[in-house]
Amino acid sequence: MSARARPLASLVARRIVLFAALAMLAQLAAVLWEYVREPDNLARLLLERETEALAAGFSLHDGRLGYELPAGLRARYGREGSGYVARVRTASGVILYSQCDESCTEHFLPLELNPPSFWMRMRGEGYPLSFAGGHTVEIGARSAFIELAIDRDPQHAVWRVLADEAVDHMLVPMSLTLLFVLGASLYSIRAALRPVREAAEAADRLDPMQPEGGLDTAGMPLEIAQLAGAVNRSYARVRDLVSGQKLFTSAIAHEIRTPLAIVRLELERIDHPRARKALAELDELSRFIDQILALARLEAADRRGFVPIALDPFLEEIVGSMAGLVFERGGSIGFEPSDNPVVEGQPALLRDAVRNLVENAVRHAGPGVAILVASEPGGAIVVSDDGVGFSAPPRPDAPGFYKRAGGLGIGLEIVRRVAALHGAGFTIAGGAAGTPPRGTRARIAFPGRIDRPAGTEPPAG
Amino acid sequence: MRLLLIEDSPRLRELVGETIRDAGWRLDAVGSAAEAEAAMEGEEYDLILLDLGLPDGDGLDLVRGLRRRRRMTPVLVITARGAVDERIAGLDAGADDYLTKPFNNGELLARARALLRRAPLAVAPVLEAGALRFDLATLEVSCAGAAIALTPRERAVLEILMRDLGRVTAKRVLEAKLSGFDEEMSTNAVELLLSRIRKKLAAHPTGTAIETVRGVGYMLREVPG
Repeated sequence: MSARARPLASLVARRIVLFAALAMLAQLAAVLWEYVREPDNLARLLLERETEALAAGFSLHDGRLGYELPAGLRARYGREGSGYVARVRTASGVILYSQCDESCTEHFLPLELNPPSFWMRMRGEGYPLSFAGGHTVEIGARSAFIELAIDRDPQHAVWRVLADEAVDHMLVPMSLTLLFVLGASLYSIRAALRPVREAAEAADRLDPMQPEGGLDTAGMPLEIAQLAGAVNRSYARVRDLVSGQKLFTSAIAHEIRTPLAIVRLELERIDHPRARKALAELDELSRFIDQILALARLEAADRRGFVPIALDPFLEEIVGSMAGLVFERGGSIGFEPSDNPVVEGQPALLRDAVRNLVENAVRHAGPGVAILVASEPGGAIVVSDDGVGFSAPPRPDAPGFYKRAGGLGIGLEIVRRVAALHGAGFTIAGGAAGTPPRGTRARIAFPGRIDRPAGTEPPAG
Repeated sequence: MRLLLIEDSPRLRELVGETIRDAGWRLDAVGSAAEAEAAMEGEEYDLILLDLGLPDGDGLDLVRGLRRRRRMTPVLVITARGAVDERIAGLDAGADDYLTKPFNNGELLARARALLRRAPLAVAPVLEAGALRFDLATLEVSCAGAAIALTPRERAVLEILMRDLGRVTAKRVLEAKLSGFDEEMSTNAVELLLSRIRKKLAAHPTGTAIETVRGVGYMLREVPG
């Protein structure tokens, strides 16, 4: 999976929000257009808004009605020549507030007239708005009459009206809708994806080594069942390949080793130096086949076969079983235990790795070599020798890297792969310093021991 | 001694047969599981040499069947499958030892001899390694006709090493054996004993060597002279 993979829910949420925003913009434009086409209606809304704002200035003291222009409106109605005029009076004609020149009498209803609860008169066509009007407001039991006139709306008060309308009639209801749509979509996606998540977990547990097995498509939505079916088919193919490989390796084992055994026994009956040479070649070939088989086993291996391995008895047994070969070739071998670290691993593969390291040492370090296999308390295997030293292996991409039968190439490749499968670090380097450096030291360092090292038990209680 | 060889490759049957007969043992050789069953019906064998890959069945089933019938005849499995877990499966099924193809004549005879010694009917137990002979009946150790005088503890250790010829004997096995002698054991008792045995053997052309495998144990092996 790429690092950029994002959950479906987040993708869908982003898109829903994006399209909702686009829809809002479109609707906003449409709504504004509707309002702008009817200046009368807009003027009425503006009048209502302004009288409401002006009404905040009323106060009642001992039954006496008072008025003071609200602070926020002083720049609009408290100055002459601003283009806005206002007058506040009682029903009986007492003027509570007036910022009015002679235009008052021109714009407003006469003082002696008992005002209607609402009146308005346009004073020009279109924009900017010019109109006059009045509105009765109730303050407690008293009523008052606010009149105002706007001449060409120089402070663009109409925009506030449009903004308020947009919020009240569009943003609030649409946001609520968006919230529900988003919630419902995310919920459906999560619900629809549950079988996918379960299928993914089941796919994780699939074992190509098992003859049976696959994803159970019962209860899955159709599209996901199709995906699971495809996974099952490719898994069946993998299983075929794995079992084919098993067949192949056991066929190699049987069909090649039996003739090798025949050739070997035949050669042993020939008392001639050239037969001895042929025998040595045959041994090389047998070893090479063992390594090929080890590689094939590795291909089919994974971490499922891992068990705890106590390194000290494990290595002691390997050293014991290899001593014959080492002494036969004129070397010697020893084992140095530590505090018996326990690591996780596949015994058969680790044995292949250690065997290969010891065989390498016997082959390349020269006669009389002393090999030491050791465990380390941190959970590591070390195979060192005092031989002629390690020459760097050819680059893995060098031609013929794999062709050096029994040589450094394939043996160390096995060790490297076994170590990699165990998550262990593999290093091989010259041993003791000097010119030329003596010996080789190979080390397989496991990611950690799974037991508690000796001497670090927590105090009882 | 009568041995049964079950091996489907005719040429390998001939070669192994030759080796076995040269060693002075009688051998019946068959090429399939069915023939093997028939042969075992009519004859009590001292050792069975069994190839696992048979044309008419798995050799391990043969071993299991034998053990189910309470026949304790030792079985030496000859296998082309070399992986350790496969060998363990063989031993679990009731086989006594295994030999991986390709093997050499010496190995085959050594393993066969070791299993025959364990056989209930085995007689005249004499251990041999190089020119060294250990007569278990008379407890005499000799080399090329010359007797080698050993103390009982030295003899006990040498016997174990000769039984494990070519293989490492764990030091703790030797220590366990020696603790049967009711003397107090010092920590390096085994080392001292081994060096005395080495010294006594060195005076004779035994064609063998006792190797120390540090941290593991000791190994008696034949040294080509």
